[in-house]
Amino acid sequence: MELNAASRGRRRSRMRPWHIGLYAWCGLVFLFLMAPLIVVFPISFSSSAYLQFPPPGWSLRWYAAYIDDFAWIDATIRSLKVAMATTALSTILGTMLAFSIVRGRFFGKSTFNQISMLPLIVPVIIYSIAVYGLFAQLRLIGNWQVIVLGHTVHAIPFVLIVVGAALRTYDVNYELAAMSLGASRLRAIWRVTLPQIRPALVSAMFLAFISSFDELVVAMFLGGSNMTLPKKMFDNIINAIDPTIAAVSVLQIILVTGILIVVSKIGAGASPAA
Amino acid sequence: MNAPPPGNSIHTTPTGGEGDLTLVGIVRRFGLVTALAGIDLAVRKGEMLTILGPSGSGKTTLLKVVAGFETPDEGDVLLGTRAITFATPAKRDIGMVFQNYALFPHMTVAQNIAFPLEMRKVAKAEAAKRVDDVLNLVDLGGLGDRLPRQLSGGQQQRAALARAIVFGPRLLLLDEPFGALDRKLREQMQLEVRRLQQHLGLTALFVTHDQEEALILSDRIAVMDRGRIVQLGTPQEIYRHPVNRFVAGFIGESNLFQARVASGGYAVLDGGARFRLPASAPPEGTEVGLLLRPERPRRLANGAAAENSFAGSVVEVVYLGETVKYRIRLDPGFEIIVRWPFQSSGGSPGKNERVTVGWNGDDLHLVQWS
Repeated sequence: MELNAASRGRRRSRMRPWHIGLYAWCGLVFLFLMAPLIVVFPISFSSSAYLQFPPPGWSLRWYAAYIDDFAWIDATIRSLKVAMATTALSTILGTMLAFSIVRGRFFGKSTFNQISMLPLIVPVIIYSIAVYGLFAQLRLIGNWQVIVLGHTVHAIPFVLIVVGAALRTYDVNYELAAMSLGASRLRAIWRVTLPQIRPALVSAMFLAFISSFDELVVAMFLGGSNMTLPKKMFDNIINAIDPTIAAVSVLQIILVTGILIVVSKIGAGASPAA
Repeated sequence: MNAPPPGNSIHTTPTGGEGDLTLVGIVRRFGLVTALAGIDLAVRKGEMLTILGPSGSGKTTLLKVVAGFETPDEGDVLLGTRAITFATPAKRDIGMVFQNYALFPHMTVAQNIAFPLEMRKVAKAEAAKRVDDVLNLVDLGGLGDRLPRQLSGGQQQRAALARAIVFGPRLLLLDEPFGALDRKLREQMQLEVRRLQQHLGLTALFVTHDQEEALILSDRIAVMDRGRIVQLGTPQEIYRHPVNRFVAGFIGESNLFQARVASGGYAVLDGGARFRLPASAPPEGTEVGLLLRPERPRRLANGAAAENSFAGSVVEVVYLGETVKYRIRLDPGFEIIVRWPFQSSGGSPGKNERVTVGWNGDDLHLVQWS
């Protein structure tokens, strides 16, 4: 017993320099990740008309500027609309795709799987030009629904990865049990499988939402004069360079953090009992 | 109904109506592997029939075919007189208890049990009453509001059983349902399931690789090997009269010898030892398997005689409580396993002790060797 304690003590003292180093390293990484936020928050409350750090004084004028400007609000609403529609569409399609890739037995399945990951690999600009060409021919540029379609293709791989991983570890016997108890395959999935992989579905929806809400390039090509929030921010930087963009960023961060909290609340509820 | 009773012959082609569940010529192949090579089987109304076999014998595939998770390449599945070969699992009216119970973790026990009723659109009040009744039946009264993970292993199993019988299925399938329980609980649950099945008169098909379990629970046992049913009979028949070497080796402990029938009612073993055969010995020259159950040989005191007797020394002693298992190396150069009651006053031989063992021709059972 004593010997044990002694050896443990020795081991701990030998670990100590490592621990200090590790803490320091973690601190640095944390600082690096947080630095933009640390800068953005003060600037958004700046009284200066320029992007200036540290701010010379404090005010809420840039928040007022955002709320009072119809163009900003319009872009925000459009972005939310696009992101929500993208989330719904890509979650439904991506989940169906995940089922077919995880469960299905068909020729060329692995190729099919790789192809569905392509949107992540193809450079966004190339993809954007391609969809621009398509929708320009159809004279649909400028409709928000078109941006939804463009974003959905991009969001599907995220859904596929997250939901696919959950399905791979899911014990299919639950579904078979439901079927033997009188449920059709579809009903078994709806009542038994999907509730059990809910955390994955919620994460997938979150990723899909963010990937669309944040997206600039595709929206720039397809949006025409109807700007999304990222496009409006981009234009703002190019044309005005006033701290409104900092205020918008802060609001955006708060929104996303809020969603993240809700997501972890809903997502934690039903963990599949393995 | 002039057909003779199915008896033990596995070659009786079952006709609809004879059994509650009837399998006719079921074949299922996976690529080049034949998982089921022509299964004919009739499960009678109210009986518990066990499919017993080692892993890879095809018993799980057979269960899936019955449950509707697999479609056979050939053959038919009949429930009563209704062909369900291609029916979806939902339309089969079969209750199933899964190996790990497959209780839905996001639903309470009561919701789990109500699930099949809900799928059948039973009215809420009626469903609640039936759930209550079945919970009491399986001794889970008052636990309906728990989640499955808040139940013990035995309780989970009862809940799974309740869910499988609450809608009054025509057939109950049990897929190795006791594997996850520790020994003591397993024995208790086996008896409980058996009691319930008999009490409700359920027709049940039970799949296991555990021969002991099969012997305890079944009205009849179908032993499977390489996609075929090699023997069908009551536990007693299967234990006492296994048809071949595989069944003999698989059910219970056994000493198996390969021998050739010689003249005068004897058989000669590979090593040259001679065994006196039972009266019903096959003709001279036949290759046979000789089965000797470990409880048959006696220890011979000086001067006592038996039709077959050999001297040898004890190689291994294993205490099993009431009985002791010995591995004895006999002088002609082969080993046997025997089981004798434990005797306290020095009556049980120790390791390396010399003993003489004997048995009569009738203690041997002839089985097909090939």
